[in-house]
Amino acid sequence: MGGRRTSYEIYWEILVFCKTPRSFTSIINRCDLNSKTGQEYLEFLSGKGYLSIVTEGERIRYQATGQAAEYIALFTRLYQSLFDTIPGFKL
Amino acid sequence: MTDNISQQFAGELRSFFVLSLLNVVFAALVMAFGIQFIVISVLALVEGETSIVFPAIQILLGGVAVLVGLRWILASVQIFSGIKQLRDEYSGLEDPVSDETITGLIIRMISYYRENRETIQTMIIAGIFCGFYILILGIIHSLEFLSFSFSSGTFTIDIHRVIPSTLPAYFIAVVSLFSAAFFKKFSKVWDLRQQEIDRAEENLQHVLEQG
Repeated sequence: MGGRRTSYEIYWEILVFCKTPRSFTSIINRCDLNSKTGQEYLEFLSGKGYLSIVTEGERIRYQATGQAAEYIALFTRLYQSLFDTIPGFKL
Repeated sequence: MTDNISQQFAGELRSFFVLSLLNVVFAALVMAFGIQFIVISVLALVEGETSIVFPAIQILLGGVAVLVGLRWILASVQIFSGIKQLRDEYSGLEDPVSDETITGLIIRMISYYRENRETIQTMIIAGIFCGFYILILGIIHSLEFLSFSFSSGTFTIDIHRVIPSTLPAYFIAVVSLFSAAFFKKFSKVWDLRQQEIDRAEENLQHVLEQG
């Protein structure tokens, strides 16, 4: 149930999942992405320095860097504030 | 803060789950009411109690109720299965729920809403339409028990027959209208949240670009 997510939501999901080193396949499976778009997201985040590439023998893994923490924190705060600022739905 | 948000999220999830479930039930009732309307009218036609025009109109109206009810059930099941999936996931969580877990669920909820927004809007319209439609059917049905005396110029209604046969119609009509109102309320809340997200994207973009 990936639904219609914005790219910012997908970035957040990838960064949170990659707090510990993850393989490309596990990232695209967990974040419900296809190979092509998954590669694009990872390239963007690696290029900006939010993900580092960890090589273990022949295996390549991605891990969120310290820089990612700021984005994760801001995103988490913004999304949780949706429940603070707007009156909720109740029957 | 997370505990509070988690409880609020759970409360909203529960409310929408109940609304979606009730919606499936009432959509089925609308369809059943339409079928009942058709059967009664066909029987009246076969027995030749009344003229052909009145039952024929009733069959046509009943048919429309069946079609709308069927379409409404399909849409309701789609909405219900999505929210059930989210609710099951939330129920499986162990306390305390972490910041990231609850944020992940908020993303799931908003993406679920984006995906189903059109269906929810259709259901609001369908609810209003069904409400008034069933109300009109109920009124038409009530007219069968109304008689007019030309000599005295008075109307009389057989209350003992009209109440049992039309009360369910009025009940379904009122519930349909309430259901539409609650879906509208749900939609308004999530539309506001979506607007907040659109505004927040500028901030997120700024932080990302600093990378």
